[in-house]
Amino acid sequence: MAQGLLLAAVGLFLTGYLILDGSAFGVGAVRLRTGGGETERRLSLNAVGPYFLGHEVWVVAAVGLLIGAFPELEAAVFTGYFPVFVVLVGAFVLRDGGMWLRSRRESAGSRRFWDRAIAVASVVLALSWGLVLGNLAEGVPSGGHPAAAFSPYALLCALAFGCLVVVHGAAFLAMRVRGEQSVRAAALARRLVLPAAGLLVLVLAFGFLAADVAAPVVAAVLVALAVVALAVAARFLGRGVHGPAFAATACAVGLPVLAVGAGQSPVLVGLAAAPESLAVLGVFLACALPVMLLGQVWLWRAFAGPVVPAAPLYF
Amino acid sequence: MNAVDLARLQFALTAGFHFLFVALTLGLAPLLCFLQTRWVITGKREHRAATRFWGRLYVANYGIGIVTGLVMEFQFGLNWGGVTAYAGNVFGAPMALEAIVAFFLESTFLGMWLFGWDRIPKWAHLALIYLVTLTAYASALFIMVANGFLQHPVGGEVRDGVFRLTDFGALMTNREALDGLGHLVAAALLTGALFMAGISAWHLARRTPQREFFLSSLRIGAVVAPVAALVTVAGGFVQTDYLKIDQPAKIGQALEDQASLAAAHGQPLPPAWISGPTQIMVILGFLLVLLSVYALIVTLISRGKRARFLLRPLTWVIPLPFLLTLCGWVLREVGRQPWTVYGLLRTDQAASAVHEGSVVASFAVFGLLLAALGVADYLVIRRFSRRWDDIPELVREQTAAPAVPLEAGRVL
Repeated sequence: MAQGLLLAAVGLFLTGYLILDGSAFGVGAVRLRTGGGETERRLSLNAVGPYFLGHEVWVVAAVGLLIGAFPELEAAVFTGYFPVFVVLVGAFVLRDGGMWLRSRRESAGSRRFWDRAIAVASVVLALSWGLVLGNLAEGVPSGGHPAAAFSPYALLCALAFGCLVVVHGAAFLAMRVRGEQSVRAAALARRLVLPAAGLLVLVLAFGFLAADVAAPVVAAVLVALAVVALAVAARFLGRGVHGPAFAATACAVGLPVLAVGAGQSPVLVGLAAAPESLAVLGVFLACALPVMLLGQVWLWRAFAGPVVPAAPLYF
Repeated sequence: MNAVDLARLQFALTAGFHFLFVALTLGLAPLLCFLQTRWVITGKREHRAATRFWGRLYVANYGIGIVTGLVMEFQFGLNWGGVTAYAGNVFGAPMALEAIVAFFLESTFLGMWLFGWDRIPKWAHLALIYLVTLTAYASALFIMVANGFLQHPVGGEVRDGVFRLTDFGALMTNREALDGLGHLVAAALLTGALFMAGISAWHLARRTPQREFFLSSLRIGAVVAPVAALVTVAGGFVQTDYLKIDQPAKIGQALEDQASLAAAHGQPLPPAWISGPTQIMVILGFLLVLLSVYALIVTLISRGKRARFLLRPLTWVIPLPFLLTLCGWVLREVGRQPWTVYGLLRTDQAASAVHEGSVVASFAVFGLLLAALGVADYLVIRRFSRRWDDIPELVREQTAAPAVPLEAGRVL
């Protein structure tokens, strides 16, 4: 019981992370294609701006709770996918460095350099999280060769997830900026909906062949729902309603993450820490979670509405 | 050098590098609370300017600090799987609590504070900086509880070769954790205070037109620094006393103390070279007490007028508290060797079974990235500390928020 609840909490943090910071990866990946001027470039970064710290920190909560509640799983995943995580963390560092440093100097060359660094790092981040999910979908690693983390199925998952995140980021940008830039972002998102849905269908089809899933039906239903969410997002994008479109792409990103967790949950709960430790964590989590979520709601409400050039900009 | 040594060196460099940012974060946060409270109460333009000036330095420091912290969090899993396998039940709890109770909220609130100028109501914006400070200190508490457990494993027992939690209260009140925290917080406040005093002194020594503004900051730093320096030194002595009992091998090697070495007879010893950093730490500790008192006297007598040559040294002092805390960490962590969990789990048992090649590759990737970002961020901080003419409140005579030109770029 306690194992199940804490696994759900880790799942909540990881899904939340990939939806929220995923929108920032997506913006990083598409922003240079939504407008070439310095104004547009700054607006796209500051569209993420107020949310940046509060969203990326979801991964700290996910990994922190993983260390505390599922130490064996944490050790297995990190050592099992060692090269993937080195690339992932490297990309994370580069992306954050780019965000913080890019606009600190006036030099056009330095800004161009960081713009490209943010774009590359964001794409690599999206792909490597996809790789992690694909590997987890195939089962918890048991000390194989590091190269095993790059199986064809995991690579397919990486591609599908990367594509989903790009659609999601473009939808986020369409919602957060105005005018021409918003239109271009929405068009970009719409163009990529079909490839993303196609890749998800392939993930679903090959999933039954390649992956050793403990709860295959639940997982399959969740991935299928993600395809539906993409279709809904495409409709909203077509009508120019960006808020609901973003909600739909958020579902499309989140559902496959839940599918991996749900599919493997019977195995994962077995890797939990001792009951005494789980009890302590459970009590603290029950107190902290409402505060954490309230803080996030405050963040979203305080900065709702599109970002405009007159707003304070930092990034 | 084998894979374990390499993993140790990597962790030491990441943790040491991370701590430079942590020290300044913990040191500046309470000072920022003071500055912003003063502004909200008085409503004076120059007080708002002070919050802005020191706040953007805080943010520039925090942004890269969070990245180094994240690399560390991942390294626990990547390189030190043995710790979680053996002591994950106990060590993992404070780590998890740090992430969810403290770090998560700190980041959420700091992002809101940074972008919330003139958008979030004044009092709520003030509350945000208090929440950031509170959660930053909660973070330090949980991390020191985790580290205190490695130094002095309490709160549990070994069953079937695995450490299990039996007494959470004992884990949280471990004196290795709490005394270490006090020592560290004082050193961090010293770092923040001397940072503020040193930068203010730089401007005053260059005859800045903003004399009153920087004199005010200099005073704050110069008043906090001597107190923090004294508490830092006292905190060190408090720990030495019981470490002679808890970790005689560490004290024996660090202070070349024959009685402690005799008490540690038969126990594995940490390397003898830790006496070097220990001596540097002790000398710097006393030196910084003197320098802090000097800063206070100069501030009181000079009023920043004809004392340029007296003010100059205050700027050169800025790096010393950073060096002091790094030496302290070397003593604490290398002095614990060859144990990761003192007396229970050796460091070679704590390492993950990963290929040497993987460790080398990750060392190269993280080392290069972090070093490059560190240099770039140092340049940003240096630039922010040297300029005041891009703080709108200091340039213009109006109190209302000025319209911000997009290309200005450094407006927050």
